[in-house]
Amino acid sequence: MTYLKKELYSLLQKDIQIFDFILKFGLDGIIFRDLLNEDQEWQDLKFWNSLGYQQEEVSKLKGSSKIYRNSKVFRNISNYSFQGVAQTASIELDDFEEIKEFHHKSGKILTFKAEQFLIYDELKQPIRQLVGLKNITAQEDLSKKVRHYEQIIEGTGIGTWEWNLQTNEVIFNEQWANILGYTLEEIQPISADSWKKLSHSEDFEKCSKLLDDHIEGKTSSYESEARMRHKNGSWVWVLDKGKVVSYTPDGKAEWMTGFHEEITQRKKTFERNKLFIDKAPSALAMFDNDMNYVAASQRWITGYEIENKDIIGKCHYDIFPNLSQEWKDIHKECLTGKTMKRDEDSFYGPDGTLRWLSWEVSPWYNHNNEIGGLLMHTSDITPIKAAENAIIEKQALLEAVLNNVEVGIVSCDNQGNLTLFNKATQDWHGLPPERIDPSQFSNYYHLFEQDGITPLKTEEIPLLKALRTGAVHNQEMVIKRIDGTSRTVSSKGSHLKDPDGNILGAVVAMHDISAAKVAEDKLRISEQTFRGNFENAAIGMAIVAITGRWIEVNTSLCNIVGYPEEELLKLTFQDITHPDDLGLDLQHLQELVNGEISYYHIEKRYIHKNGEVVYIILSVSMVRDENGNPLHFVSQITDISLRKVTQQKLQKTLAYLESLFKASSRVSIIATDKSGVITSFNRGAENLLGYTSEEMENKNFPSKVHLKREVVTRAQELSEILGENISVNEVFTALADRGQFDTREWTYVRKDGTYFPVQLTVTAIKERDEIIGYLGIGTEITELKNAEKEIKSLLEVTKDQNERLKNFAHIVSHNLRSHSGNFEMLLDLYIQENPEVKENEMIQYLNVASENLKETIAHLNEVVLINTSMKDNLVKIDLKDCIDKSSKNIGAIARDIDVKIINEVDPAIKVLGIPAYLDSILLNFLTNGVKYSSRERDSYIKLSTKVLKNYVVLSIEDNGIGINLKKNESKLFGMYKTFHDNKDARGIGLFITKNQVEAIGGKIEAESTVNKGTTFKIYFRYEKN
Amino acid sequence: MKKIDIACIIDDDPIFVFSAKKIMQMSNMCNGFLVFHNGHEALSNLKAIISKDSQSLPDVILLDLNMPIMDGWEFLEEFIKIPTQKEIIIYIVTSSVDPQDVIKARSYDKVSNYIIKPISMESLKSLMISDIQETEVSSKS
Repeated sequence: MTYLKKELYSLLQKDIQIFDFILKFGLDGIIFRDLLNEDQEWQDLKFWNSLGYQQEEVSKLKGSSKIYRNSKVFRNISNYSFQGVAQTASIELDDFEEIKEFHHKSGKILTFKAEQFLIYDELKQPIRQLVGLKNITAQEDLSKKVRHYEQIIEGTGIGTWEWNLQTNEVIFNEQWANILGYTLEEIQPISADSWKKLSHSEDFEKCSKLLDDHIEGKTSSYESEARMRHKNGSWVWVLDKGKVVSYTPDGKAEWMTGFHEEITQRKKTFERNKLFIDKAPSALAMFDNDMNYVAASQRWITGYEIENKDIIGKCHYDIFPNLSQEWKDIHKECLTGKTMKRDEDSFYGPDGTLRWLSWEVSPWYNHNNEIGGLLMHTSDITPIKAAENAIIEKQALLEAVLNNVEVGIVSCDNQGNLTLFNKATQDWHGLPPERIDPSQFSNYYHLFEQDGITPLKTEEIPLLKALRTGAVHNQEMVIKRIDGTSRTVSSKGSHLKDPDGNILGAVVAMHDISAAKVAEDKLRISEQTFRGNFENAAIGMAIVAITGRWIEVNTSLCNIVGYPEEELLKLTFQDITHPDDLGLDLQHLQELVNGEISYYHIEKRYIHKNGEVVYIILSVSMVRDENGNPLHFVSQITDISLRKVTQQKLQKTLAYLESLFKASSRVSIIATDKSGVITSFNRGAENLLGYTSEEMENKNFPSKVHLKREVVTRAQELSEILGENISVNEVFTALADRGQFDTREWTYVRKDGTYFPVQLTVTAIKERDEIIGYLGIGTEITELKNAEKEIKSLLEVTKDQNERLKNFAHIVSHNLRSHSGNFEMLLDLYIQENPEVKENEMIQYLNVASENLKETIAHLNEVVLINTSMKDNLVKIDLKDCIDKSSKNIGAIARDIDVKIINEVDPAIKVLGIPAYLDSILLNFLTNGVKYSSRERDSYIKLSTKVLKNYVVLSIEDNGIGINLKKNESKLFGMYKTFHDNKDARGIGLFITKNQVEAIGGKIEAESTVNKGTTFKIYFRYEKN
Repeated sequence: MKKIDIACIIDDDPIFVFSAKKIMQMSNMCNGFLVFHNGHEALSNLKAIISKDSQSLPDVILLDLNMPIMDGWEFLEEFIKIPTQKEIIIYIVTSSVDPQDVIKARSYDKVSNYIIKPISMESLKSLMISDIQETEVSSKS
C-alpha cells in the first residue's frame, strides 16, 4: 500500500486537480485505490482519526473489513463510476456521490460522503481511484433523521401538508396524495384549492371554521375529521391535524403544518359501532362530553318513546327535560372517568308511568385516549320486574298451593336430609309447626305397611326409597299418629335433578287414599257382590259377543241349557236356539245394533244339551263403547219351561173345558158376571130350558129360570144361617161370596112354563182371588128325583119296618124278660119259703127251664142290640192290650185246663171297633179255645196279626180238637147250631161273635182240621195313617 | 143296719110287686111299703105326703120304667122338681137292658142305681146297705 501513498504524492505534485479534490472532498479522509489490484488501497491518517483510531491502532486494523460497512460498495463504485466517467469523459466531478458508512471505533456508524477521482492511463482506462471522504455523519444523522421521519411518515401512511398562510403555498407529501388514491404527480398543480376540491363540502366548511379558530388563536391546535374524495370516487375519512409552526415578524401566522391520517377504517369502525349501537337490542346511547347524542340504538329511541328519531347531535337533557338531578350528577361523575351502574332503578317515563330499569353509565375513550363522552346502557327491566313479580307471585302461589293442597309433599337433599315438608305432611304425621330434629319424629308418628300392622322398614320409607332408587310408584303405607288416627297414603317419588342430570335429592308426593281405600273396598265388595250376583243369580245371565258367541255365562244359565261353562263358551247362541225362533231373535238383535231399540224381550226355545226343548224368556240389551260402537250384549234368561208346560196344559184344559161347555148338551152351564148378568148360556142350558143363548146372554139374570117362591124361601133361610139379611138377588151368590160352594136342588122353569127339578151348584169364578163372576152348573134330576122319591119311600118303609122290628124286638125282649124275671123270682121265693121242695125234680127242672129261658132271652137281647147299634161309633182300640185283658179274664180257667195263651200281636196295631164288642169277641174265642183244647197234647192258643190293605187280620190259632168244617161249615156261625157234644156248647157264641164282628165292619173266617186245631181269622177295620 | 122305714115300689107288674115285697119282708129290710102302679099315681100321692108330713116320705123308691099313664122317666122328671128335706134313695128297677136307658138313668143324679130285673135278695141287700150308709154319712155331715 505504501507504493500507493508514493504514487499519490507524486500525483499530487503533478496534478493540482487532485489537490483541489482532496481539499474539497477529502478533508475527513482519503482512500486511494488500485483498481487493478482490488485489495490494494491506502487510507490516510485523517481517515483513521475520523474513525476514532490513533495511528498506532491502524496497523492492526489493516485489512479488516470491519471498517467498511459496505466494502463491496467499492466494486460497485468502480463499475458505476466507470460508466459515469464514460459518460462525461472527464475527470470532473460528476454526479457520483457515494455515501459510505464506516464503523467508528466506538461502534457508531459514521457516514461519509465519498467523491471519487479516477486516474486513467494512456489507454484511457481507469487504473486508480481516489476517494475523498467527507464526514457527513451529523448531517447525515440529520438527514437520516429527516429520512427516518420521512420513512415513518411514509410508513404510517400519514400524509403531511404544509401551508403558507400568507402566500397560500401548499406542500403535500406523497402519502397525502396516496391516501386519496393518487400519486403526488397526479394532483399537480397543488394549491390550497386542491384541498377544497377534494374535500366533502360539508366537512370542508366544518374544517375551515376549525382552521380559522386555530389560526386566530382560539384553539391550540387544529383537528378535524373530514371526508375526502378518493380517486375511485369513494369517500375517505381523514383526520386532519395541524398547527401553526411559524409566525411572520409581525406576529401573523406564517407556516402551518399538519398531517392527514386516513381514518376511514376507524371511521367505518366508528360508523359500524354507531350502527351497532343503533341496532343494539338494548337501549344504548353514546354521548359526547356535552351530553349530545353521538349514537343511540333504535331501542333507545323507541324504548323511551322519543318522537323525533333524529336525535344525533341533540342534547340528552333536551330530549328528557324532566331528567332528575340525580341523573345529571351521575352523568357528571361518569364524565370524570367513573363507571356507575345500578341493577334496579325506577323512573317515570315520558308518559308518566313507572318503569324499572337497570343502567350502566361509563365513559368512552377516543383514539387519543381521552374521554370522548358517555356510554349509557339501560335495560328496561319493567317486564323483567314484572316477570320477577310474577315469579314472586308464582312462588307465593306455589307455596300457598303446597301448603293448602291435600297432598303430602316431602323432599330431601342427596344426603337424605329433609329439605321440605308441606302443611299436609305436617298434619298427617302430627308434627308440630316448629322444625324438630328427625330423630324425634317417632315421638309423633309411626309408619306401617299397607296392612296397618306391620311396621315399615326404614329402607322402605318412600322418600329414602326415592333417593336410593330414583322412583317410587304407588307405594301404599299407613301413617299412624300418636293420637291414634291413621291414614292410608299412596306415595309417588322421584329424583330431583339439575339440568346436567346430577342428582340433587328426592321428592315424594303422598296421596291420602284412606277414603279411596274404603271406596276401593266398597267397590271390591260391590264388585264381589255383583260378581256373586252374576254368578249365583237365580236366572241365567250372560255377556254375549256381537257375533253371538258367549263371552261370560253364569251357573244358572249353564243349568238351564245343560252345557257346562267350558263347552258353552265355545258356542254361539245361534247354536243352541231352536231353528224356528232364530229368525225373530236375529231380527231383534239387528234392531238393537242399529239403535232402533234399546232392548228387547222375547220368548224362545233353546235346545238343551240332551236334545229337549227349553222354553225361556230372553231379555237382551246392548253395551256400546265410548265411540258408540256395539261392544257386546247383556242377556238375561229365565227358564219358563215349567210355566210353558203349565200354560200348554192350561190351554189344553181350557180348550177341553170349552169343548165340554159347548158339548154338554144335557148339563146346563150358566156363567154370570159379578153383577149376576148371564154371560154364558151353554147348549145344555138351551136344551134344558128352551131358551137360546142370544136370548139369555147379557140380558137376563139366572133368577129368570127359577121359581120365585123357592128363591124367597131360600133367601130367608140363608139370612138365618148367615145371620145377615140376604136379599133375593144374593140368594145364589151368597155362599159363593163367602168362599163356599152351594149345591142345592132347585126347580127350573122352562120357557114354556113347565118345571123340572135340577141340582144346581154355584161357585164363584175367581181371578187371582177376586170374584169376577159366578158359574152355575145344573143337571136335570127329574129321574134322580123320582128315584130319590122311591128310595125315600122305600127307606121310609124300611125305616118303619126297622122301627117296628126294633120295637118289637125291644118290647118282646123287655116283656119277655119281665116275665122270665118274675118267673125266676117267684120260683126263688117259693124255694125259699118251702125249702123242702128243693129236692123235687119238677122244681129243679122248673129252675133249669127258667134259667134257659133267661139265657135265651139274654141272647136274643144281645142280638137285637148288635143289630141296632151303629157302625159309626167305632173307636181305635189297642189290640194287644185288649187281648192281654181278656187273657187275664180267662186266666184261671186256662191254667186249670193247662192251655198256654201266646200273644204275638204287634203292639202298635190299633183296630177300629167297639170296646165292649171286642172284649166279648176275644173272650168268646179264648174261652172256646180253652173249652175245645185237646187233652192229648200241650195246648196253646196263639194270637197274631197281619196288616192287609184294608184290614188287620187277627189270627187265633189253637191246637185243639178242631172242627169238621166239611160237615159244619154252614152251621158254624149259625144261631143255636152246635156240633160238639160239649155240654157247654150253646151254639149261640159264634153267632153272636160273628154279628159283633160284622157290626164293627169286619168279617170272620175259619180254618180247621179235626184233631189238629182251628184257626179263626178275624178281619178288623183299622185306621190307616 | 138301720132299718128302712118305708120302701116305695112303683111298678105296674103285680107279680113283681109281690115278689119284691116278699123279698124285702123276708130279709127284714124295711118296716112298711108304699106301692103305686104307675108314675102318675105315685107322684100325686107322694106330693100329698110331702105337703102333709115329709117325714112320712119313703127312704127308698124302686122305680120301674115301663108303666102306663106316666112311665118312670116322666115320674122322675116331675119328682126331682119337688124340694124335699129327706134324702130318698131311688133305684130304677127294670127289665130293659137298653144301654140308652142306662145312660139316661145315669144322667139323673138322684138315681142311685140301675137294677135289672129280676132282683135277688142278696143283690138288693148289698146295694141297700152301701147306699143307706152313704145317706147316713151325708145326712150327718
